[in-house]
Amino acid sequence: MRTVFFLVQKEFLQIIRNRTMLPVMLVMPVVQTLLLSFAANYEIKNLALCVVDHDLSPMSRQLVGKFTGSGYFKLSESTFSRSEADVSLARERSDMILEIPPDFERNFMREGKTGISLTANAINASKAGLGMGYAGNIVRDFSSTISTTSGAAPGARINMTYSNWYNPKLDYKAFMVPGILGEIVALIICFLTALNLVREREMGTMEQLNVTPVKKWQFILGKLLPFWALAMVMMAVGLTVGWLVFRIPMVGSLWLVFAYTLFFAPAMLGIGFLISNFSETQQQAMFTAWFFLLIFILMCGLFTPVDSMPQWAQWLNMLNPVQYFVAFMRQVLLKGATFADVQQNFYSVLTYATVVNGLAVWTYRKRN
Amino acid sequence: MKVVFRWPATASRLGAVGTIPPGFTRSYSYSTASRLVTHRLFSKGSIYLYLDDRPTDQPTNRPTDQQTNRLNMNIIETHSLTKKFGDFKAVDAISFGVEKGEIFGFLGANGAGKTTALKMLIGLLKPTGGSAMVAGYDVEKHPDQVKRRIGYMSQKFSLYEDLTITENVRLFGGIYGLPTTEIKEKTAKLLDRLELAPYAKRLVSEIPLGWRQKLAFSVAMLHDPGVVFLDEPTSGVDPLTRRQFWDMIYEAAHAGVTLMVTTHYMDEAEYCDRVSIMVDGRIEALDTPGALKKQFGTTTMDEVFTRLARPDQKVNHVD
Repeated sequence: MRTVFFLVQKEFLQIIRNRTMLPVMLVMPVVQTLLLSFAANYEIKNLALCVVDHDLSPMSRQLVGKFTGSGYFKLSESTFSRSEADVSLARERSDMILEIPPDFERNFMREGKTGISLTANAINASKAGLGMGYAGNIVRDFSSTISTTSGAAPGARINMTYSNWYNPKLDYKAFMVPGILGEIVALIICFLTALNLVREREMGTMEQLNVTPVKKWQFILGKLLPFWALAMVMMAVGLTVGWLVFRIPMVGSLWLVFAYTLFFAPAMLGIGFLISNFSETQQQAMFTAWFFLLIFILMCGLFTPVDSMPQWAQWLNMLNPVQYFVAFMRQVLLKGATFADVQQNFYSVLTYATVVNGLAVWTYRKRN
Repeated sequence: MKVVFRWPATASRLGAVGTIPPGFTRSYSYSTASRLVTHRLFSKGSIYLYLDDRPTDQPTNRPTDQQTNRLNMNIIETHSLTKKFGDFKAVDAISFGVEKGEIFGFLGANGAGKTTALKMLIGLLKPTGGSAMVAGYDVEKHPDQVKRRIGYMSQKFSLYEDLTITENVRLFGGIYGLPTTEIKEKTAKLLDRLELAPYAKRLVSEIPLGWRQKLAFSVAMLHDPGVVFLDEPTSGVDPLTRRQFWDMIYEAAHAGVTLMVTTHYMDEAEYCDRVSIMVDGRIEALDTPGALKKQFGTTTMDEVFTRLARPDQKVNHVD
């Protein structure tokens, strides 16, 4: 253990001396949380709406008013010709067309049933989907107020089925921040470990250590412990920023979050270690790490829900450590999950860390 | 043992390395009990260090190989040590022995297999054939025992450049399990010896190469290893520092440490007790520099080396 102490001490000295490493580790979580949370959210405002109102009834005007007053839509054009509206959509002057048929109000009042048509430019599928979601909310809201105030046929409604019960306030920050935090910690730790080790190989200091009686486990522990500690610090910094800037809910126990990070960090460290074992240069390590991390990040559930991936992808995703972390953070911070709720996740990560680090120790060669 | 330092009247501290002045003959005499004669020529017209008053014409009592095996086990011994990379034999069944306290020169052209052989001895490369004993242990079976007893200074500078001198010493002292008080003592001694005390708290990257090499050597000697392997320790180092470096090597040898040195400098080859020359993975010659020169009928090691390394070419020796 004394040997490990000397190695850890050396590692900390190097981290403190490194002009880029420490800033990267402290500034990156802050900047990324701020930047990604503000920029990479799904909240869409000011969708350009082209209105084709063939009815021109009080009710149709009221509906258009609801749309423009919602804050999500702004009226880009108003026309009586559907083809003109199509051109507007094609030229990207508008994102959506709201077409109200001539008998809109009459049908509603008489038959208790009417329809509108919404057309969205779905090149940006998520934008279109969200626009539809907002519209659905507005129409449903509108139809329920109209039917109670206008004395229409009982049970009158506008046919527009869409369900968007999810995140009604559309506060994506609360949803994104915990995920991003997990992703950043995972990424930085994995990268730093891989690069740090390969750097020692490049500098020749690894060879020097390899001719000493240092045991494999001592060497690996000497590397793991400092980066492990850093992961915890980064987590604390990130959570503080999330709390101060975004007021992200922290419903669950923070102790649980840190306890989990304690298990999760070694998994990412182990991956970094494993990559370094197969890399001769920092460049190789960068490419390999990037290959895996990109997949990890895109599939971690931060940007697309894991549940909607095809079954094979979900199976594959069991190898993605970041996915566990993102799921955990959301469950605990937003929903207030307790250990009992997330223990499966705990065990998965623990197994993951054990296997990866086992492989790392096994493939680390003091001798070629 | 009596130690005599003689300084020729014309001595100046700096000078080119060259021939042996009258009255100073090289000798490579050892006794199995203790090192009796160490008669060193340092540089031409500079320092002649004469470490004994025994007549130089006295026959040396170096034990023969067979005697060595019986009386005084070699501290390094290889038998048909081989390393193959695919079909290529980087080291082709080399067998040799190095005695305790000897300075053993390991010469060869680039790619001749020196570093590969060296790396097998220090446990960085796995031999594909043969065996090697270092400091009394089989490198294959007890690599950790070997590693505890050897020091290594690589071709590449390999202390931590972003640590200070003191921190480096503490790290390696700690790794070799030296007690904290001993680390402190040794650090002080080392700084004093290398006259680096004012730089103790400076980062290693800030001190000049020559000093770094001396520092690296001292760090490799920190845990009092029986054998130290030096892989081209003086390449890129200025002549003065190179000489100081060799002073350190002699000092270590005198204290009973065995040193195995690879080098491309032929003047350094002259400083070695015995020299082996590797060509294409094989040891083509192994003897004292004097005997090798005699054998090849030349006056310099440079020529011996060139003949062996490029036997097909006529040698134009340039001094």
